[in-house]
Amino acid sequence: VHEAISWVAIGWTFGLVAVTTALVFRSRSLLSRVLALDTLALLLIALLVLVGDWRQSPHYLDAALAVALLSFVGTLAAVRYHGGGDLFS
Amino acid sequence: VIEAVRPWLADALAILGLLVMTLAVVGMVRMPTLQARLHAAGKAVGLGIVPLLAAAATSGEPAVVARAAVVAAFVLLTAPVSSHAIARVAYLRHRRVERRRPDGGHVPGTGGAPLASEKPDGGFAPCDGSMDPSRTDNGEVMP
Repeated sequence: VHEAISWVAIGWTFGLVAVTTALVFRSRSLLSRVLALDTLALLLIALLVLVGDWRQSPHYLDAALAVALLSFVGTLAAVRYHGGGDLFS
Repeated sequence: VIEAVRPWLADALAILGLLVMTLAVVGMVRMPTLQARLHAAGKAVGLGIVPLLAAAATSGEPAVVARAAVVAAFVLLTAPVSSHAIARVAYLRHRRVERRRPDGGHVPGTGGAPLASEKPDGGFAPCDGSMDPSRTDNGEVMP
């Protein structure tokens, strides 16, 4: 990706992160909030990929994998706890 | 030829990914119900993250390509699972509320009151982070 596109993309993704953070704080129901947090994690992964491509380093993708893992486990745990069942059914 | 096209292909993939992520966030802001929001956000993975990873992988470095493939596979496998978990819990709690009603709840396709999931939950609360405890996940007011 060209340098200028990288800069614009990183700035744009920061804007999306800001909007989604506002969404997390303003959502009315808990499930909407969990969904907004899931999307926020997705945007963080996108940001890490873009920064890793800009810095020409593969190690940012390791961090992206860690964020993906944590967001998946966190979403599932929160949603199943909210559903009232046990976490592993 | 491939060497000449490669940076432009990466640019195109990055712009496609950003466009789809933007559409997903716009959908999350604009859509009135949880189900519609899930529908909008579900698009962000397949067409949002994966093109960005592909753009990063066009450099051809084995370390980047391998990691990008692993991240794409993991995200593609887990995003439907978490979306399904959210939708399932919304449905189960909605059904519990419907059963508690004196009229036994609304049967779809038979007229009568619309399903609570078809009503908007009024968008978003003021920015104090509080939730209305009398509302369910579908925006319905508990009896």
